[in-house]
Amino acid sequence: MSSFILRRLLAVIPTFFVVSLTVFLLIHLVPGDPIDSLMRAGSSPALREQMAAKYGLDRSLFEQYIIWMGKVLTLDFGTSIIQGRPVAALIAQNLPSSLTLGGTAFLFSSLAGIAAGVLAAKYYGTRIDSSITSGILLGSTIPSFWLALLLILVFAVWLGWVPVSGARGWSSLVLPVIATGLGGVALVARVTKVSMIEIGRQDFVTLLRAKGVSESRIRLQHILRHALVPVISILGLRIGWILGGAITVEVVFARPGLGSLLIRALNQRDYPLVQGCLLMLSMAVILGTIIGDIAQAAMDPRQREASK
Amino acid sequence: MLLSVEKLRIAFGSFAPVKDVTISVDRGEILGLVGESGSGKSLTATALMGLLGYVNGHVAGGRILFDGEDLTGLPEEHMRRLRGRRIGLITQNPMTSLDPMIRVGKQIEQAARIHMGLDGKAAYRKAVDLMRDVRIPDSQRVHTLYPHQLSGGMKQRIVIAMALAGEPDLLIADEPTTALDATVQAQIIRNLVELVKIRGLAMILITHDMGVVAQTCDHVAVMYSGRIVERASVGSMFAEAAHPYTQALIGCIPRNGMRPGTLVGIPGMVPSTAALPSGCSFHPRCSKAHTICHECVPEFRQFGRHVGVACHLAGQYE
Amino acid sequence: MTTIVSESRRLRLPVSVPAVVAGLFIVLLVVSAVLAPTIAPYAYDAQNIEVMNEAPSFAHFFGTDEFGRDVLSRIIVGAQTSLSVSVTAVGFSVLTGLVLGSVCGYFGGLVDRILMTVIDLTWSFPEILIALMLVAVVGAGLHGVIIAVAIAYLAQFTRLTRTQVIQLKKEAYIDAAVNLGASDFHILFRHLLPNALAPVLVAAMLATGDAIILEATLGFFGLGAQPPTPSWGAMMSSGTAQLFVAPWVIIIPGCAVALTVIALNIVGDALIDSLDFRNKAREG
Repeated sequence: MSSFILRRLLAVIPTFFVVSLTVFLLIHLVPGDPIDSLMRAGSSPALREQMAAKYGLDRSLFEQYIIWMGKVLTLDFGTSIIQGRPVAALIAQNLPSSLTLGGTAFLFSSLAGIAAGVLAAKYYGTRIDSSITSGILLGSTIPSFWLALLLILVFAVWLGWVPVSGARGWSSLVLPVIATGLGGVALVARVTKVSMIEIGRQDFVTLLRAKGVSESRIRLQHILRHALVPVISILGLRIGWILGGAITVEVVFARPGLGSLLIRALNQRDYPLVQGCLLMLSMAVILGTIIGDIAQAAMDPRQREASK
Repeated sequence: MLLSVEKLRIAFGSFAPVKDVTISVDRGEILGLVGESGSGKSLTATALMGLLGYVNGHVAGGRILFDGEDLTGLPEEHMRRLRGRRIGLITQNPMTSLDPMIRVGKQIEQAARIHMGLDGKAAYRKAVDLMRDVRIPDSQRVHTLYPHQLSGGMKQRIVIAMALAGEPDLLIADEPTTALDATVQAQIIRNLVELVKIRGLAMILITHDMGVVAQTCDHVAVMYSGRIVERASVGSMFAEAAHPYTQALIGCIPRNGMRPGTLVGIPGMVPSTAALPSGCSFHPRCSKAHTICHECVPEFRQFGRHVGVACHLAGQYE
Repeated sequence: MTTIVSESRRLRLPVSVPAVVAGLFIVLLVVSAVLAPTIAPYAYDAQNIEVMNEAPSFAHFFGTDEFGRDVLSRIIVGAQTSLSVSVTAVGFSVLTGLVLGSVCGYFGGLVDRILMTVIDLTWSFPEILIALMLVAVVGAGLHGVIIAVAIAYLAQFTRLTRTQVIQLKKEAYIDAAVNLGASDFHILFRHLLPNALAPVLVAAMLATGDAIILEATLGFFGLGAQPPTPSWGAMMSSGTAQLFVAPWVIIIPGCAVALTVIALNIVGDALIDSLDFRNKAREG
């Protein structure tokens, strides 16, 4: 198992290389002189030269990448042009809020999605199943920022149950979590339902019934356990998607976070900050995929064996 | 009689693949239920286990008397307490019969915990003992293994141990060795017979192999397209089979000293249950068929104590 | 048997009511998007200070926005923007995906391995993240959105085409064509691609729905259509400030997005069902 984890982590290195290269090249692909992207408009020529020397813009692209990479590895992402503060500090300041939202939304997606999937599978072909299924279709087609706006309108403005925006206290987390996680709920529910039904048809389930195991036990202790394997790998992939949703939802709710930071930076053409945010978000996606893979392997004894 | 099934009819909606099954078995006896695939033997087993509802079928007629109690129409919760406790099931394919994610020992323990109320240590001891009874070597080590780490024969032994864990009175073995290697088949069958005799169980052995029937069973019931066509003690059936289908089945067993080329199969195919021929459903494949066989379904008639047969021609040549 | 096969040649749509309704909705939407300026009751950019933020009424079916512009007219013209951006982007994506996928699938080898590694990499990233990266390079605006969406979905179509081509390559009639001395180019474009096309087109239909959401999201962030050009996303973006006084400015474009995406999904699913039917008929 530990060698499997190690192998999986080693496989990240090329991925990280490609991602970091892409993010690095951003500045060079933007039309115009990269220095313009790194500085405020109208800076003095002396300052420009100083900047060029600092970022090594006078050297070859390859050397520049090495220098940049070296800095990134020591968590030096440069300085925000607009805010004039180190990008790393800005990220550190916004990360906890993003993690809270992302983590809670992830939990919400998993638990609500699995519960909905189990119910839909249990009542397969009945009205309960079809209403869950249509809910799933609806949930996966609504843009999360629009859902966020609707939730604000209904629960914060009309009903006044929760604060409109900001990040103070747990009550302000409820709506963002629903808006971020609903798409995930739909996906997890669909995968759970399909695999529960498929596994429910296998021979060993008949034999469990023949043993006199109760139906609820068969569902929750045996079938669900199998059904969770594909669900977990989907969830691992979904960590990235939840982050994507969190980006938009943060903006709508005016919550601090990597998403708000990134969108603001994009609108202000604050490229060092854009690079830093994109790199962090990408790393989170990659990490999520790995965690999903490892959790899946850990659950299934056959895979555990194969990955020893 | 521990179990007597009377005129059992199984239906899926309005379609009835099993029409008229009457069989019985007592403690210490083995009843062979024989027929080609599609004859309705496995469905009969499913009905005896009370599991028809899970495949969207139901008992449409007849009774299943088990220890004096009619199992048809028994509430599911009541039936569940009988399953595994008083009736054990052994299924055909050991490769898919065990939960791949749970250690095999735990799977044996499960039935003992549910039905015998055993706790951790006692359940463990029970599982290890059962594994020894089904001739699994090194049972303490095997207890901790997962199904994919065992051979097919070993898995089937685990399935048998599982079926025995609730100390049932009746075992239903649905083609228990079909999926296994020939050498393992013989061992498993021998082991099953021994368990039945020692524990005084009743067993219904579902098979299509007349050779296995001859070696193990006390009584035989032959099924063809949803009906019992002949029922007899093993001795009298192999001495003088009454139904042409039974005769043909016995003719299919290879024997020592047979000249090459003399082994015969049965011409034609099992009719689809959805489109049965008129009259006796065996008549298109029967070498002795008369006009009456095309027209009327033969009734099941008893000849003496040990032989019953559903054939228009039975008794005419004696 | 022959009747089944000949019937299946025509794409037989299952006669399900939701599929028909959804199909009609899409036709209606496309027609009104094409005719947008002619059928819109007002000019999309006609400001009218006297009717700012007015609730839906007979004069303005969907109400007016902060500048007194008619929301219905802007929805209709916005449909033009949103649909053309999504369809163009997905179109680019499908074409490039078909070429890359069939080259990878047909020739295999090193090119396949390198391309697929990159494709698999983008596969695990959410489209919004990829799109934001690309918008960072290309800059805000509709052309940026088209490029971003096109590249965000490229992985999906390349993969799908590649899988299809690899499967088809194994079929007997391709061997026959090879034995007859057909060139790679001929086999690829005359035999393999036409057969790989159907599933790719259905996937394209579903992707168009996702692309509409992605376009709306980018538009909402102010990274898509720039004012005064209306797009559904941009409308919601400018409506945020009026959320408490004129919620319809946001609710209505959102409904337009959701309904369109749901309709595309229903029609796409129906197409998948009828394609399945065709495949079965071919196997039988």
